Amino acid sequence: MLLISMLGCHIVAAIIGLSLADKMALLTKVRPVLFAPILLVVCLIGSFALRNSIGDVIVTFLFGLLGYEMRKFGFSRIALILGLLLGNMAEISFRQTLMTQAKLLGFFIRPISLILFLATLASVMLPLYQSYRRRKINEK
Amino acid sequence: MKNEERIFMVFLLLIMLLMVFMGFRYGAGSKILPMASGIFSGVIVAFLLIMSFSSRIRAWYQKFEKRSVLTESELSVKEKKRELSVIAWFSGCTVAIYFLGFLAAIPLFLFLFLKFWAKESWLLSLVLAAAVPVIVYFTFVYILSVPLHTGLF
Repeated sequence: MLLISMLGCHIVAAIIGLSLADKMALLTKVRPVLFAPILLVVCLIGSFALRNSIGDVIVTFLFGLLGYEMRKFGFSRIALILGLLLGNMAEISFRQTLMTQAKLLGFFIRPISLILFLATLASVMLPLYQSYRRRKINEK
Repeated sequence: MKNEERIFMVFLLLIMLLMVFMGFRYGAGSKILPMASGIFSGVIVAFLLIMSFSSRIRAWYQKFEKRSVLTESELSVKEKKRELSVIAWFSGCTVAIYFLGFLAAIPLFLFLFLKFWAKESWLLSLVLAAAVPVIVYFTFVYILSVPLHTGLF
């Protein structure tokens, strides 16, 4: 029953989405000066509606401001959002590892976590190394 | 934009330091992650800050990174004023919501913003200022049964 209702839900969502897509695209033609204040108001109400807390409204505004400044100065907002979303899970898993393994060593002696650690290290170092190599070749 | 950027970096650095400082209050196991991430991010931001002052370190780092470390585009005075005024208007909206509640602050903010900042016509400003709260009330209070903040008064 649950599966059928989920299937039905997706079909209805697809029909509504497809039939309204061209009309919704017209929103992009609305002038930003008209759209921005309305969007701000809807965002603030949305954040309030989540927990009925006015503090959330203030936090939403402050994070909006932070996001704007980050964009202006070339900082990655995606990294911040990923950190906020995954931080809780990371902290819980980190504590679990500390409790079940031999302290921090657990991250480096278990094969899967070791491979993931090396892959992370490589993904950070490789672009830097490639860029350095390319520059060296260009200089020659 | 260099000074503005430096101020922003100092602000980020203060957040990282606060995170490390608050980490001291946690238990032995609990403080490792916030302190490690705080120290690591703090070192990166501090490095960026040092680079914004030292052209030699910046030149060294640019060997590895193609993109410029500091933002090169500079906003004109007019653009800066416009940016600050929008931030002030939006902050005003948030404060108004806190004191007056959503249903009083929204029409007030929309009308004043559209009429005096965006210089829109009286008709458009009034229509939008009247329509948006009605839609908000109908959607949130009537359909979704979400009680909106009514302000402090």
